[in-house]
Amino acid sequence: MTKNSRELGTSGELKAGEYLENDGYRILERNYRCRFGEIDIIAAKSNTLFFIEVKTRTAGSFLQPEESVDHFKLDHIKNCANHYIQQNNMEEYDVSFDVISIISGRTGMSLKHIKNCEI
Amino acid sequence: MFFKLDSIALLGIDCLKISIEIHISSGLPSFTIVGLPDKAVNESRMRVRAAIINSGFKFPLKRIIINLSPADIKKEGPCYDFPIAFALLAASSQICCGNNELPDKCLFIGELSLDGGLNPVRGIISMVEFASECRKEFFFLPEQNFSQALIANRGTKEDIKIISCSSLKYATGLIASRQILLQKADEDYRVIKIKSTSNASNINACSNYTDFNIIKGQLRAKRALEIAAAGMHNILMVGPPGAGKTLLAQAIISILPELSEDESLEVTKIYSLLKNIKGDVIKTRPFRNPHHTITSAGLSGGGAIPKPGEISLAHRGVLFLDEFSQFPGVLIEDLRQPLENKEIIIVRNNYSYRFPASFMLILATNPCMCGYNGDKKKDCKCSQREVTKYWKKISGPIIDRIDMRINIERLQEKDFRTSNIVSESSSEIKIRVNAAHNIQRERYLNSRGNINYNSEVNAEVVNKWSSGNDGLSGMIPEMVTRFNFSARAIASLIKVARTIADLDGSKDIIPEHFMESLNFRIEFAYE
Repeated sequence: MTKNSRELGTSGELKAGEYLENDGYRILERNYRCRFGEIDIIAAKSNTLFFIEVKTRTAGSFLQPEESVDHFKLDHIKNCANHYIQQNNMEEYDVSFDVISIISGRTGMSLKHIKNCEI
Repeated sequence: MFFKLDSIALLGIDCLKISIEIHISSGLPSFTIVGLPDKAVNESRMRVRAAIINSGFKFPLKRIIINLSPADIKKEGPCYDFPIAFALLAASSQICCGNNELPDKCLFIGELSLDGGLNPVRGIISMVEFASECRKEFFFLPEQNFSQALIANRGTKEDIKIISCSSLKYATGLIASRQILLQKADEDYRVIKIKSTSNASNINACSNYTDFNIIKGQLRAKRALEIAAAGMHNILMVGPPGAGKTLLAQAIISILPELSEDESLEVTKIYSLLKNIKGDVIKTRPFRNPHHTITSAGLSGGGAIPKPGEISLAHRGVLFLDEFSQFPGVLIEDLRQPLENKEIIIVRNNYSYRFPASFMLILATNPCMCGYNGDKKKDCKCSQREVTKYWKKISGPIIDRIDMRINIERLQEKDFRTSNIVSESSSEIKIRVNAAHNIQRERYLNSRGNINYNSEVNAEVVNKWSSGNDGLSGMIPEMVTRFNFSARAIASLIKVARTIADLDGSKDIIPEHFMESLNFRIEFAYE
């Protein structure tokens, strides 16, 4: 491994933020923490709130990045999202839970945006 | 946002109107179904989601609650997929329902496949019959159920327009206005009419049964079966192994008349509760031959949400219990109520499920454990005690309800020699049986209490037959003293005599008919 995993994660989150802003999303929070857990990015577009988990892996790993987001992780994100919505009185918004999976290779990063992963 | 649609729940053979209520609010996305759904209903969330997306609509990112009301009755099966998906689309204003009253006049049923197509559902005949009583105008159902639904709809008084839908997307296009719906219904009806007239010629009764002419000898037994078939009398055959009991019983279906239109609808209705009946209605009489290891639920119907058992599947046909003595006593007692009432009522969770069970019972058994009691050539190896024990299990109230009891003997040498004597084929016998059925249909046309056959008449009618008949009423007291017959025995003798007279084409029962009926009521020494 060329970088340590925190660096890898942070670079992935930056890349994801860049992508979202280019795509017309308004980023509300990064690394939002509450006692239920952490959400990497909270963004908004038109009338929808997006709670986004960013997963970054180096190329050639055994699993795809998005495969490591299971329903336990999603539960954490959901609780966290609920907390955020209540704190900010944003009940009127639609809600989407997304995963951005990034594979970092030697030549650059490839990014995949999985929308609305769970109901 | 709130929206409501009506659908139908199957409860036994009857139906219940249920409302599918949907509420969509903002909040964390979730999709919940309440109102006692079973596993299949709950899984419809996945199908609905996939079907909506694959039909080109958007699945709303909102909090969705579906209620199936009345909420205290268990809902089962995947047949609510279609109404749920439809309600969801309407509630999220993705489809335009013309004026808002139109969905109120519709009923929806259907299972969704993931690509948005509609799959057929079970019990469609019951549903259509029920739908026409609901004062609704349109009934949306899957394309594959359409032909059966039309046949069922023909029998009902109220007219409901049946709309066959191939997919969710297609259905959503139709609801836009009443005009389109009416037009579509007419069009479908015309198409199916052309199809059915072209198909009518090649619908042939399946002739895959044992024919009577391959059975050697056993002339008396054949005559008995002919009479039994003519009046739908229950019959018990007792005989040694290898005498041909099973073969004879299997042949009976070949001499029974085909189902009438109403009857075939009734039969299809029951079968379609269990599985999808492809295409048209069932036209041949059912013949059910359960093994003696069957459970009580399998025989009389049961399950958490009751399903028809063998006795209901034999409705309007034959239930044949081979090796009757091997059936557990409990099961035999289960037959009592259905034999009397021609239906069975199963009660579960405060709701009683009704299944019709009007069948002709054929029992076959050996006379004892070794099988040769009463045989002319072979000795029985059983002790008297064993024989009594054997009969104790099967005699009693059930045997008492059997109109005809015959003895079947093993074939003799001469039966094999005279192979040049061609015995009657089933089709010849069937003509006579058919005639007898027609006579009975005319006689009971205006009768009270849904009587169709001589075997079903009550004591009042039997009394009328015997009291108005001098020859008969003179003979009966003599028979009672000589054979010690019970009142029920006399009644069933008269019923059988009536059937014999019908086969004869005779208006009144003459003494010969009664004497012949005596032939078919052997009293077993060991009873």
